[in-house]
Amino acid sequence: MPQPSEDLVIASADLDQEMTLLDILDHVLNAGVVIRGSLVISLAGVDLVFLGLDVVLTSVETALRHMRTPLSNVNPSVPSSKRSPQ
Amino acid sequence: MAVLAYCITETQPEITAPRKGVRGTAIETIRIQALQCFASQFDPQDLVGKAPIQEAALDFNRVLQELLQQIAIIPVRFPTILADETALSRFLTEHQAEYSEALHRLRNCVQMEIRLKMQTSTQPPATSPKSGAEYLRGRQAQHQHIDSIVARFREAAGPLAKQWRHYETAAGIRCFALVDRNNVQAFLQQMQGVSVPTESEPRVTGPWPASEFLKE
Repeated sequence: MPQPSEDLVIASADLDQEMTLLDILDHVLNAGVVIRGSLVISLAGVDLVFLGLDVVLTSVETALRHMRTPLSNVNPSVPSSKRSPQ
Repeated sequence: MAVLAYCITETQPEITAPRKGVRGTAIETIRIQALQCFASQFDPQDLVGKAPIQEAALDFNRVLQELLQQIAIIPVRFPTILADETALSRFLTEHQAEYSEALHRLRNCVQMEIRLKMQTSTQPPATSPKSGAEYLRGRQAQHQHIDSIVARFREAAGPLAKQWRHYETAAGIRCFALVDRNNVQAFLQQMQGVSVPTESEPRVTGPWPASEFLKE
């Protein structure tokens, strides 16, 4: 059995360790399919600092990631940025 | 009425849908052949006009996690609101083959994530190199350092990780392992034994939906 690493943080429901709000927001905002033609609510001006900052960070991260991906490999149903409202 | 989409799963009659969705809405299923999408009738104004939007995001995650405990899911990014059920049905019909294949392949699997903070190629170096050669040597050393740390986690995961992906971000490295849902505990135990530099602030989270493995 490996010895636990003191520097490693493990957050998992399976270990009854709470994931942080940032973990959760990062996944619900940044992972998953985006449906073409969907209406994505603008978050600008809502709940200001924390959520606004996270939205910007995750969007930039996703954008940078896809900038390094050849266009031919990009899944059209999983775009890197949020859709514009209809 | 507009609908808020949560996730897509294979059609499984025995799945128990969560009782409440975002903002306490009822959750419905929209079925197209072998797929079903969980969604709520939703007024877009309810997202921004009531309680803090973080609460809505947490509700959304709760729905995903309750379903993920039962079956493989393809999450829909929050907040995705469509004009009506017809628009959602149209999307499911268009992507039926693609998502059916992915859900079949990812059946019984979840995604575990390892996040490491460290300087990557997307960040400027702490000190300016004196020459181009010095810069290149620095970059090479940096990549070797990152690769060695990622390799430690990958080696520790061993066959528990059915697939593995990692990429650099502005903040560091994100690694994703596709793990059988029955092996999550074993995977976490293996991760606990990995020795890593303190400054990398390693963080292991999951189980999550296998979003990074939708494409083979």
